[in-house]
Amino acid sequence: MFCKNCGQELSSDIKFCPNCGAPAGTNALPDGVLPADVANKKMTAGILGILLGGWGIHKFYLGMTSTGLIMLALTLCSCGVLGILGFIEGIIYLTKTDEAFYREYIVGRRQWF
Amino acid sequence: MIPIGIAAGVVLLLLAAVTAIYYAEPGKSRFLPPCLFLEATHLYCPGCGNTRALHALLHGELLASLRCNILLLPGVLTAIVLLWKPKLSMRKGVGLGILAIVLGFAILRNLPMEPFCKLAPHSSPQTTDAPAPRQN
Repeated sequence: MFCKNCGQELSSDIKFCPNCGAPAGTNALPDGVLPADVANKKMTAGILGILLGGWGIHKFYLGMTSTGLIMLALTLCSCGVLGILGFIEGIIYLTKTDEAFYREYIVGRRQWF
Repeated sequence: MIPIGIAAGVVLLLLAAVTAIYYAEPGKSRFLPPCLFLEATHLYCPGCGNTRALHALLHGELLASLRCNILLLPGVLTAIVLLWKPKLSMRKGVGLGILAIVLGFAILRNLPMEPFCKLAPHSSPQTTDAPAPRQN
């Protein structure tokens, strides 16, 4: 199972997350259980990244507003060349398994790549 | 973790771009394209001068780099800090601030008045890589 607070993988017998200290019992999702919309979210974010990644749209979609604005500024500053970073991030999202995507981007709120 | 193939590809692309900018002379080489926004509108975008600025920076000419695009050096430093401490970019003010600086810079550098026109990309006087005057 994984800590709901930070996404750290937890062994089933501990009470607190060793990474962030959040109580593990009620706070963690049981093994193998993911929220129902994770597969959809991954697909949407990945495609948004590939098509509109330079404008930071995939980051806005995942709730990383501030990081999305930085992505937008990067693209403006480079005549669009660094927009390719958004494209790459979209591909990375799609290569993840649903479980890894949920752990790293939704729970862990990973900001870059 | 980032898939190893994608990471290797990105690093290779970056290295290729930096090498090209190190050896080619911006404005003279046909491998480095001019800014499309400038061609279309005759206005400077916030990225105009970045190729020259990076070329100068790679050759160690700090001042020339800042004269071409004053944002390149702070931008590179900011990028390093943000990749090192990714949680910083989660703060609302950071994203808004960076976007505001970029947009403000884009407006200011197009103003034709005295203190602001210094922000426009200056073709640096050729110092190191200028060919010696031809002697006949």
